[in-house]
Amino acid sequence: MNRLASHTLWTLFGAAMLAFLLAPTLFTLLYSFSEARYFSFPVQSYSLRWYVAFFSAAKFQKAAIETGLLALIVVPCCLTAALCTSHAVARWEFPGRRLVDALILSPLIVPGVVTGVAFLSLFRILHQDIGLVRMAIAMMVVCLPYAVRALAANYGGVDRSTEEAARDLGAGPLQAYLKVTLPQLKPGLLAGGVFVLVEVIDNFAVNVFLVDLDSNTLPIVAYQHIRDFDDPVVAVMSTLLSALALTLVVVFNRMVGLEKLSQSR
Amino acid sequence: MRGGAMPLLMLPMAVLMALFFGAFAVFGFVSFLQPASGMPGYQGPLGLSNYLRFLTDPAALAILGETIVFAIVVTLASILLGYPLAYIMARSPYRVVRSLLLGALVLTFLSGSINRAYGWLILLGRRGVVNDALLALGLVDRPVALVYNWTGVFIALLHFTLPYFALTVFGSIRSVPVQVEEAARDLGAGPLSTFFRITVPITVPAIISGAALVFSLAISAFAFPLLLGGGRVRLISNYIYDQLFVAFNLPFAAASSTIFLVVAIATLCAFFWLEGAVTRRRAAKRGAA
Repeated sequence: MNRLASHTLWTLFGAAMLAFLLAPTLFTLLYSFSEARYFSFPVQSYSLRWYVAFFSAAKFQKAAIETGLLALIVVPCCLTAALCTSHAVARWEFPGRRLVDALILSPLIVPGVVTGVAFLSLFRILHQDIGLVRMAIAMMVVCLPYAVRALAANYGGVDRSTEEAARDLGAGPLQAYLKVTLPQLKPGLLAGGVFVLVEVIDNFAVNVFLVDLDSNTLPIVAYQHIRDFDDPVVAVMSTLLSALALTLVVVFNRMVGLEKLSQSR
Repeated sequence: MRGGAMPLLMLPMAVLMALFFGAFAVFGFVSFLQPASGMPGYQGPLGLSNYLRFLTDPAALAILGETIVFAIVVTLASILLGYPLAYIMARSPYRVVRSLLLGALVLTFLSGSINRAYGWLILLGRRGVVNDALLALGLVDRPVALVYNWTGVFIALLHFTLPYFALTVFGSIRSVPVQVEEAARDLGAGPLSTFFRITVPITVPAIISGAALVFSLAISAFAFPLLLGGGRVRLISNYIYDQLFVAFNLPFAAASSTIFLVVAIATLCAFFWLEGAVTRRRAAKRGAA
């Protein structure tokens, strides 16, 4: 009897948490497909008119391109920098290694708005007013800790003896690294890539200080739209981004398993 | 790779860190200057006036204080809800339950903050789903104000921080061998006392580091109060943003940010100190036993 009661309680709690976690995404999805301008539940009639509105709005098109461009610049650069760094930190004994460790992670603990104001001050002095350049630099700094942490967690599990075996068999250092070490870092690279990508697409607090009139990212355009209009166009954007997140979750789960993601964070 | 190439590998990181700390050097310098008229410019002379202004302004201090209290409340709520959630994810006998919850958590974790703030705006509005449900169930006779106040910001922020906390303690709970819990039960402990006297204490370090993470996210919350606070809820990040984009006062914004940064780092250090103290005490106990 007691067991049954506790079982029921746990089940109810789990169901409630599941509902809490998914409710915003699910209702945004419904809203994006509804015909009406204002949300009502259940949805009276479905239509794709807000999808048409989203894809034909110049400001969203431009922001989507800018955000994509930003991700294309930041993700590879950040992962490369993180690969170099985590290799040096894992394999090179040098004085002050712990200090370097702490330095790399420092952008994580600085509140986003503070980082934004700091970069704004820097770029003003450097007379750098191209929004995309400003955001690319800031995003690389902000995202580096995510990528380094994911890779550092992975480096502990790398088998050094296979690398040495490859060297003994005549492979050069670079060849041994590319053929033996790098494949073992796949989970860390994937996890790091996912975190960096999500941060770049989603960042609001830092980028809001760095955008200019010509470049605007999706979250910032969405915020401006929500502030000025009351219609489901942003629901469309949200739904598309959630679909992207879902794809990432499924792909990641297939390739390395979701549990790895929580370990490398 | 030979030692000679190692410094070269550190170069990209060094450049990025130089930019980051360079930005803070400039920003620290600007915080001692005075605003110039016109668009956010600045001029001499150097002085502490911006800092004095923040530290003697009751309104600014109230916002800083409210931010800290609010972050503590969000952290406590994340622990209370996130720990049992992580426990189910780690220990449920059903694979479906475990994967479903983990999947939902990771999906929530990866879907953006603006998206989620917007989702809560739809759910919690005057004519939102939650109010409709409350009215239909007869729990209230008129719509309850759930957004554009602290309630809305709290709910949305909790939804944002919960995955961070649950994913942090999930790994730790999973690494507690099931046999330890079984042994406790075999020795006569009930499920509740096993949970509170075995599982929870073993995972205390993870709880503290998860709480530190949630607290630092909550104290720097910006988009959630902006969207769901309706101008009535202003946290310190919003205050700094307004100094720049409403008052056009970069030096004062920089000084406020510095004070905020010092407070944020001090509280995080307190968390790390606590984590270290717990770990040390445990090691000492183990040494004694």
